[in-house]
Amino acid sequence: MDPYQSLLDRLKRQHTPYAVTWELTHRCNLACFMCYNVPRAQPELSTEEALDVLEQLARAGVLRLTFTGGEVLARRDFLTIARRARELDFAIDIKTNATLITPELADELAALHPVEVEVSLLGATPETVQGVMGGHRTLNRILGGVRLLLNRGVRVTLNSLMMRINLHEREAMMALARELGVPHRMVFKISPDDDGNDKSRGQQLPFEDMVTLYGEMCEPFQPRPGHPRARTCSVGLHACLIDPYGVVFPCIELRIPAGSLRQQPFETIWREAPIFRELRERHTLAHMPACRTCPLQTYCEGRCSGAAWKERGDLYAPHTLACRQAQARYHSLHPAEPIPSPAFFLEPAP
Amino acid sequence: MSLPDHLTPRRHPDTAFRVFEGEAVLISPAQNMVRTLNVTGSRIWELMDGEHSIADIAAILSQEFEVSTAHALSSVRAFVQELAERQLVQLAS
Ligand code: SF4
Repeated sequence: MDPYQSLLDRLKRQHTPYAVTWELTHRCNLACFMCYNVPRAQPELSTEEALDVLEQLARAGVLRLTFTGGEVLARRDFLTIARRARELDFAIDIKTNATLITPELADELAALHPVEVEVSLLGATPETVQGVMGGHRTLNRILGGVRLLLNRGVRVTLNSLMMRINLHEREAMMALARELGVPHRMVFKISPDDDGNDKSRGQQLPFEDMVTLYGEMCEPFQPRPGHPRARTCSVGLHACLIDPYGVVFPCIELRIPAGSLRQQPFETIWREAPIFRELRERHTLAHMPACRTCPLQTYCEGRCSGAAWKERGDLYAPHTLACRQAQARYHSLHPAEPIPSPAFFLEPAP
Repeated sequence: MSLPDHLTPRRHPDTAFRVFEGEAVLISPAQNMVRTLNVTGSRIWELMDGEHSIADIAAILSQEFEVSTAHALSSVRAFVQELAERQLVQLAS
């Protein structure tokens, strides 16, 4: 096995925190209608607090640090925090809408040597991008920011959340990425808000479009049988999320608080929080009765405990989007066969 | 040609790393590369701080790992050379 993969597996087994996603702020200069952040009426971590958190994360062994928001560049002290992170030898990734990037800021960002800057591209025409993200001349400003980074040798990836509103511009978004010479990722998962409000559900792709997209994807898919000890994802094992107020969560989707860095050290939260302990002990197929016996389980890639918890109030339950995606995956691979229904699924597949 | 022993190698400032139970993981954005080092390589990597010369590092290694200085020196030279070629370390005299 690749030595890096075997090291990661070891870190997961040992519950070593390796990767942290950090929402530095919930402030943003744009207003995407499907944004899942729910800003709270309390102060975000101060610069001093953030720098202290960095020291704690470095001591705990964290190597990969993803800065996200909100819009990270809306935080005036972003560079102070990111520079300190680099001094502490973190490998940093930055997620941004890129619209605030000026030539000077691009120089500073390049000097941080981020592993990757991920920029959201939510349409290929000014009208669609405006419709999703708001703002003024938003598409132009995104592409301008991306070019400033690319000119300085920064590795950029475009990330497109595919929704009903932008699906028709999929080819054009891929063409834009090709033109810029950057990788393009497409994701289909529209997350409910952090408080569970599923306001953008109506934008979820229709079943037939999911089938088409799976059919067009280049990577071959192999159905994977899951044994009872298998995990549907590695939540709680080697990664976590910190929100702008210093609250630690198992991941960006699973908003059950593990503890606050304003009250406890990171290592204590990571080792002792009940939600981490529970996920480490129980987050296996053995504890997911519906999924374990589901005829589509070997086709299911997207089951997410956070989504299940928001939709069903049950960490171990299936959830609608995962089941729909598994059905779409099955149908794209076996178009002539009837689509099995997951045991719990409410409506039959179209 | 092997590297002169008085050179002081320094980890490239764009390279991120952490050591997990003696095993280092390096991430180099410039080289788009992730690499893991064994225990000896990780110790050399930690010592490449721009303060220790190749000779210093070999002396420390020979003590810690109980190998001859000559053996340590040739391992350190080869390792530093390889990392310098991959632009993971910078060399100063
Ligand atoms: S398709 Fe639904 S029920 Fe089946 S394994 Fe996936 S999430 Fe569970």
